[in-house]
Amino acid sequence: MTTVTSARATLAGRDRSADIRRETRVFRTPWTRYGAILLVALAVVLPLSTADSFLLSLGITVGYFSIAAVGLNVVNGYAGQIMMGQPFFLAIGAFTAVAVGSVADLPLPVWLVAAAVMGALAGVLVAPFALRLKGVYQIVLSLGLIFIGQYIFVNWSDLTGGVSGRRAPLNMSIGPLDFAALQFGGMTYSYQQGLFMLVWVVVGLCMLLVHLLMRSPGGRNIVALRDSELAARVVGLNPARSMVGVFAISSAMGAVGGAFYVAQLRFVSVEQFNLGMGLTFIIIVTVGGLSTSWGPVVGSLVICSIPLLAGRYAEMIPFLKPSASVPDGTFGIPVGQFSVVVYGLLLVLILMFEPRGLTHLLKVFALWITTPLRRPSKRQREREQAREAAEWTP
Amino acid sequence: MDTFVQIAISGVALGFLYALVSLSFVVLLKATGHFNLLPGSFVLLGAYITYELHRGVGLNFWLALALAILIVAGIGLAVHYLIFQRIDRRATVSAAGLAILLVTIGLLSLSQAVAVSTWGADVLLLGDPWGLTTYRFGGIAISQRDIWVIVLSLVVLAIFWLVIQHTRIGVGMRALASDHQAAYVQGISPRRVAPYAWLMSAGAAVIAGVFMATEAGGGLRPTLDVVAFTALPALILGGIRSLPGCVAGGLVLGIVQALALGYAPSGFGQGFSTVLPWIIMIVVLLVRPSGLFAAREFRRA
Repeated sequence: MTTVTSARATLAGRDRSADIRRETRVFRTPWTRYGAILLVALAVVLPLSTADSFLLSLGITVGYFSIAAVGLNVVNGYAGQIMMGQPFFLAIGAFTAVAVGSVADLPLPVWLVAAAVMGALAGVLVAPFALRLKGVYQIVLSLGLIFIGQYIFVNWSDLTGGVSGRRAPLNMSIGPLDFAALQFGGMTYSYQQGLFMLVWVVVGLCMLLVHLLMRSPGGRNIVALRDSELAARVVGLNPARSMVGVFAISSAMGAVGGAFYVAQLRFVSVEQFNLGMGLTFIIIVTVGGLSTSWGPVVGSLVICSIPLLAGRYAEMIPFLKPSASVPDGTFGIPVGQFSVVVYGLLLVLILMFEPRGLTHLLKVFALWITTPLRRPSKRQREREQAREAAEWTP
Repeated sequence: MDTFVQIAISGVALGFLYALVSLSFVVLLKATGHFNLLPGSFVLLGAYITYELHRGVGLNFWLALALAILIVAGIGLAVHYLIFQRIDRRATVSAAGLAILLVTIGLLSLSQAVAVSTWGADVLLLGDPWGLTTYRFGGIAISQRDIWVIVLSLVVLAIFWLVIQHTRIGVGMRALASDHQAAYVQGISPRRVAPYAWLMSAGAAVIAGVFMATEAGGGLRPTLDVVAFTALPALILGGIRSLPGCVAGGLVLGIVQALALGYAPSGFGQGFSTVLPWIIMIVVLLVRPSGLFAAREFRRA
């Protein structure tokens, strides 16, 4: 990159180094810079200002789904490998958290890091198998991962509680600060509020990590390998190292998501980490937008809110039967199935009409809304000035 | 010894079911060029539609079965024309494969939701169309259903073999699968081959679904499509493009699973017989990635 720009610098006769510095900054525009700070502030302020447990628990669910989805996005979107087995890594993270944070009752940073490390280890173990195969084989292998994981965990009933699951209250303290009962400014905050802050700070960290990763040479290697493995190998990239690293990051994030899953519910059951969850994650990353930073979060927001909102507002939605799934002659979608219908429809529609996902749609919408408000860009201004200078004939 | 033979025979019946489902996957893969999960929803919807036609409307069982196959094939064709061709036109080959897979995942969820909405989530009974008698030969008991499974599967396999080897459509299907552009140049139109492929795939899947819905102690329930996925290891074992391979793979896995169910020590934990096909599949994938029976392959997928 330096050689190209230095050649271009000589050609144009201008000093481009300021431009290069500006292009390679972490946050390129003022929007993203101040937006990031605003979001972090929001993540901390929002739980402190509301105690509505419905909103808070929805927020926490969206949070840990986002963490796992950000991880899956790295493997599925940037690296182009099909991985339907994300629930396996969530399960690993969840049960590590149970073992370290509940049974051994060690503080928060310990079980969080332990979950991430175990997840990364599992990813490193799975990666060589998944990478040797392509296409159909990879899909079926990742499906098999879910079933094998369920078999292992169901039979490890000391840790996992077998088929019925176990209660797992986790230790939420970092030194003197206990997130379960946060003391701040004279007020005590609830478990949900503390956990919300924690989860969303971690979401921000994960997004930043992936953002930095994709800007680095390692990230570019991964995208090159996705687009054409042959060409990348000709250029000298070693697929094994890059891809195994990618798998490790993805599974570590999945494990952290699983750990927070236990933290929210304080109950864990092997049943939850099933094929349905794997499909849900695939839907989240695809609907949100593969290979985008915000895609997983937007996808989690949409996918996680739908069942909760449908449950709450069941009477207002047509075709919805609030009662159980007993056939009583009327055609209606039971509330439990409504979210499944919406997921399926969303996925099909997005893939048919806007494969780049909801983030792209939102971006287009935002641009369209703010068209009258935007200042002309620097290049546009220069072009206008040049045109005026050319027209000016003294 | 008698127990062994009995278990082996029930394993063969189970194996034929796996073979039928993986045949359904393979025919679609050969005809459309993309792997998709629609046979899962074919199994589910076919069984429910047969139930509706046989028990709800009151048609003869075989007529209901035939009509269900046609209806499901029609659904498949609609998906093919409306969705697959649209995605194929717009996307590159690799992106199209992932997109089609994901679309079929969405359709799978949709079909499960439709099944639960229309027929409820309870277990429904198809009314024992295979008869309830159990034949005894010496010390071995074989239920009439198992005999029907084996006989009907052999008939279906024979029909498939005849079509694929000896008819124009079948040869066209093989040509398209082996080299799409060369076949196109020769005048073989994917548009004419597609309906037959979907019909065959739907036929195999619906028959398998009806069998799965009538097993002893089971019934018609909305999670049938997950049961269909347990046939995926058979698909891999046989090499995904080989029809005799997936039959052989299905039989092997069915027998192994039945033996595990019968003979596995309880120390292996519960659910061992269901997870064993997946473990075998992973071992085979490590040792011989193209499957046990694959033809010469230049790519692994």
